[in-house]
Amino acid sequence: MKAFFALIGCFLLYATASAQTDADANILAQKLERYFQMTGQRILILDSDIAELNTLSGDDLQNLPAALTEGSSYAFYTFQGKYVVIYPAYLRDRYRSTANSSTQSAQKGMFSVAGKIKDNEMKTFLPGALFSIPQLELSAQANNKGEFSLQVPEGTYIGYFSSMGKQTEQKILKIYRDQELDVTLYESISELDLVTVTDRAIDANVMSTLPGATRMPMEELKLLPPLLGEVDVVKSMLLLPGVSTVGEGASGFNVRGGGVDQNLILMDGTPVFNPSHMFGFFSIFNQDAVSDATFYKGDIPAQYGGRLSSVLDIKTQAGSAEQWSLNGGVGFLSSRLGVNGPMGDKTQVMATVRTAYPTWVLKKIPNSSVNASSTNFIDGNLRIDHQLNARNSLVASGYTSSDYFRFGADTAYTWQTNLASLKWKAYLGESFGTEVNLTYSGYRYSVVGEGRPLDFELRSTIDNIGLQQQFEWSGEKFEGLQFGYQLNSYQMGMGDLKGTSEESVIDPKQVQDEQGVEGALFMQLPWKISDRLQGQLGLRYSHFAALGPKDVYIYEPDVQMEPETIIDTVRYGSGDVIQSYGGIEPRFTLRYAFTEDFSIKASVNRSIQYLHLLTNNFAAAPVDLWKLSDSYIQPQKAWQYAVGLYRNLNQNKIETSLEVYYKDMPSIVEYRDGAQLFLNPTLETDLVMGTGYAYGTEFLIRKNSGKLNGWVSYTFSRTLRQVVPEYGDPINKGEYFPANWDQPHDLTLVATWQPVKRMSFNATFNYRTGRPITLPSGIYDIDGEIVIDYQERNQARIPDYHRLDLGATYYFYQKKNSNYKSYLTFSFYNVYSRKNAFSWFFQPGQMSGVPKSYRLAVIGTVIPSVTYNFTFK
Amino acid sequence: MKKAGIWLVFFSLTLIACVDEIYLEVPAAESNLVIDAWLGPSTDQSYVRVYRSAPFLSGTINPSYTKVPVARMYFEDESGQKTYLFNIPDTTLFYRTQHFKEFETGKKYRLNVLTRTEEEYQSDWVVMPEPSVVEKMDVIPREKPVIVYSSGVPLTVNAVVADLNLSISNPSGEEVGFFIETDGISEVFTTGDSENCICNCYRPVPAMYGGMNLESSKYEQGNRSSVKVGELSVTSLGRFYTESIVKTVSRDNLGYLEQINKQQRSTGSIFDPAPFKIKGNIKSLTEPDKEVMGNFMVFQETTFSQMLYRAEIFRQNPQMNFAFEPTQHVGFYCGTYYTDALPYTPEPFQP
Repeated sequence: MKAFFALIGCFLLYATASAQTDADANILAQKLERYFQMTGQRILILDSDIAELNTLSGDDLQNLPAALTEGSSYAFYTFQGKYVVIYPAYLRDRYRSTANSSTQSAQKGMFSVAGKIKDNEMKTFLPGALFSIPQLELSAQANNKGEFSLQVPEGTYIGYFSSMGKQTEQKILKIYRDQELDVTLYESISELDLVTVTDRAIDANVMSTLPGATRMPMEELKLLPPLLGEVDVVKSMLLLPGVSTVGEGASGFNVRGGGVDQNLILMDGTPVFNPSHMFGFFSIFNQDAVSDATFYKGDIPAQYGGRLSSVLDIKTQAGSAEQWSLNGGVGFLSSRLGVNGPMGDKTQVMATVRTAYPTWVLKKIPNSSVNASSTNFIDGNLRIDHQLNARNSLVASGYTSSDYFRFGADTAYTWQTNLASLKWKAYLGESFGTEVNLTYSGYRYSVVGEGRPLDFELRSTIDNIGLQQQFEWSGEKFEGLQFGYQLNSYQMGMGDLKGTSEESVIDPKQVQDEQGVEGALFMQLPWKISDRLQGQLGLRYSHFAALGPKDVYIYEPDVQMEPETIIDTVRYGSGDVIQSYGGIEPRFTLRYAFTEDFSIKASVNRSIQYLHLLTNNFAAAPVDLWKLSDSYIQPQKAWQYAVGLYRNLNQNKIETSLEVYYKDMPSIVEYRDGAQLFLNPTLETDLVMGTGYAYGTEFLIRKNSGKLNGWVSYTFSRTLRQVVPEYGDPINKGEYFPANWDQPHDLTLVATWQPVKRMSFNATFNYRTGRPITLPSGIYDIDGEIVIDYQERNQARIPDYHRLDLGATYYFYQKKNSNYKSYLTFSFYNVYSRKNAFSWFFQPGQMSGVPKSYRLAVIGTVIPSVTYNFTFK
Repeated sequence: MKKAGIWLVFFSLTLIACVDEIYLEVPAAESNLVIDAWLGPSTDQSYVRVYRSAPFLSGTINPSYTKVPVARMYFEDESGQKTYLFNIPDTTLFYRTQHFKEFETGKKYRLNVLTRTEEEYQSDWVVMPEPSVVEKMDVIPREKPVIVYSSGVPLTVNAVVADLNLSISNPSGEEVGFFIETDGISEVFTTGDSENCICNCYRPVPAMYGGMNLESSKYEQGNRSSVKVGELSVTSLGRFYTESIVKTVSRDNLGYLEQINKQQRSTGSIFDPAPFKIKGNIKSLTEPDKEVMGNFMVFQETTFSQMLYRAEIFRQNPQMNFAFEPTQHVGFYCGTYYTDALPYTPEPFQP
């Protein structure tokens, strides 16, 4: 059964996208296509089975399935005269022996499995979609309303739901009574071959109406080289065109010229304020807890809002409905453990825990600063799925993490993330459904100084409570209409400082908290003019109010705001509206398909952001400050215009795309030179509003199947800013200057090679232009104190960044009936030990004089890692 | 084999975060004019330097500046009274007044410079603050790990240090800044070979406070600011003489110095602000967009000195864990062992 399970998990791949070699592929593809033209039947073959078939024989096209399987250990069956499924003969033998067993047949009843198959993107039902149980050689095709029905004998099976251009969905079916199933299929934008079923040569890369969207299942992410033994969702996103980071050790990522704070990161619908552990070396997303990640950088559907640049929507995985399993991994620096399974017929549980413990290594390093340092983190996920009845279900999801980092003996940094969500899904009628999600996101950090009497603790907090309800309509008119509302409340602890002992000489200091509420209404409607011309119309209206209690300083008019120019203070009571902003955010996409493998897409969207990450550094850090818009800091706004060409080649085996975008940012938040952001009660005096724009071209060529697959992506992009305040000094003399993350050239190569079933090798290479930096242009002294005369902001660049990672995965031999599955991953991060500069900085030497220039390379060498991963059922 | 594997990991991680000095090829840029101007309570404490900045060369000990010939330079008060400065001798960057004069508290002053190339520069008006009063120095002992030398070998031990805090107040009641420089002389007990044993050596301790010591009077409690000026290591029982010069400056002038301090303390970490150009209060009248480095500082100066007795700290805090360095044998002269020792007994230590 286990062998069958493993095999069936890889079942059904349209053979034209899976030939073993190019030559074989072409020959076989031609035969299959001719067979289809002759008979109208599509042949479905598992990619890895092709080598075992007689691909060179079969000149008699009428009997091609028989010719392919003749003399091999494979058999085939035909469904409704439309599909021919080729699969291992022993499965057929097993099926027949079971079917022929009169005893078993008599004992087993037959039950109806019926339901609807829906399209996630268009919100419409999928006529012609296929529901199959290969184990029973049973299949059913959905009717014009997307409905299917099949009589299935009692037992447990794996059901497959597939449609053209969609990712196949697998479901464990426990058949002991009549069942209704509603299944949603997602675009097969970038899913793994092994679970891809396409029954026509149309690819979602071309046919999807959402430009710049990527969905990555965890199985695909696991094929990429891990860093420090961990597969990482965020690191994997950095390999996509248009996504970059300013360097190792920086939290977050930058998308199409946007800042780190302009990405909405969601875990089960709950916003994440810091996605990083250990300053970005790990992300908070545990590979064992994640089901898939969907990334929107072009058109952002109207249901998402509050950020300008992108959405990374992470879904955790539900516990298994069939059996309990234990999984995890053990490595030198981190380990993880997870468990999931059913609790009764209606409830599934998934729980994971993960910890990293590199401190024991740091202690061995003969450097006083380093061996006095320590760092660790621990995090855990819990998800409970409960089916209330046929029409209602609940999903409760929680996450908690705690990070600790201490460099040297005196100062420690800690930060915690707590996320929780409760989702209720309901079908209110035949064509109407709703989803309500109540979320909580808490983030708090502290910096603790332990050297007495200067011991202190600096703290900051964020508490966000959100409520979102979304309705979906699937009736004949306005099919796929989606609408709803969102409410978010924010409570921001802007920092308080206090001594931690009675002897402390630190003066306590507290900056006023900030409060605000954000509401939004949204609707999204698929727009289908013809098969060739389709699109989506979205509209979102958001409104934000900064609330009291708060004392707001009033500054002298017509001069630069400074603490010295405060002329009055206005006190707002609890709940009083200090300032409110709002705006319409239209979202519009259009796709025109020239052919089945060539299309053009365009999108226009506007976003408004009321929450800002304040950093006066080149890289975001976990202890940076988040701030709400208020009387002086307006919302950030952006319009993005994007056009893309999408062309698939070699029967969808190769995807290519070329996207061009322009982003206009009429309102952004910048900091003044030398800004003091922590514990600053007059923060508005160090911040300044500006404008900016970004543009770029992203090219991707990707091979999705075969023993060797991967992609090459290249991005050319620029992001520039201009700050000319009404009062006070302009930045860069009022001229445009590059943003900290402006890295014009970005080239990524990703390759995975699986020569044999139990071994795979992978490699990634990344090159990007060095980020902007402000360099010295001269030196002088003031009364003997040496001063560096720096250039204007970001007028130079650090050296270009490039890095090669290699990895290998070895899957241990599994006995057919074994409950234990394991594999070993080896990886080498930064193989050729490139000392990529994270920053250049200037520090006085031991002798007085001109400061010395230094390069800080966060990872200056190769990092090997070995992780043993296992699953026990 | 297993051990080798573990050490391979160790070795790799020792190199994970590395900082190394680099030679920076800074694009050639025209040097900027620098005006470093200080106006004290009298002409004796006032000077101006006018020069062009030097190219940035990592680790250079003495950057070489280019002198800018000046045709006319003067301090000016609100009533239009001018005090001219001259470059005497002509080989230095310094400009000073020829005649003694005092500058009044509460008056506004500004600097005017005209170069021989007919470029004219002028500073903002700056108020001469009231002089501050240094009332006392508080000596607050505490235990702390310190490095002591035993037979030339450095050892980290738990010992006693004392924080030296100055109590400063400014009678104006306005927010002003304090720029404090504190030096010291440490008395060290030794043994020697000379007939008239040089048993006490005196070692200068310049710049006791690491970096620029700046404080604003707005943090004062009860009209008095307590400002740490240094840390006294109580690893011997010799006396210690401190002398602090407190320059009282305006809030704006303090802001300028704070920018320099911020720049000097940057370690390049992700917690430090990004580098930025420091702008002062002097502008070009000839070309308003032209960059001028430097600042016009106006200050009052207060000096405070005190002899500190380590033996008293030891006597008054018997509960603390004192650790003492062994007495060193210096031969015939202090300088043979303590190369930085003064060749004479400083005045405060003379009987």
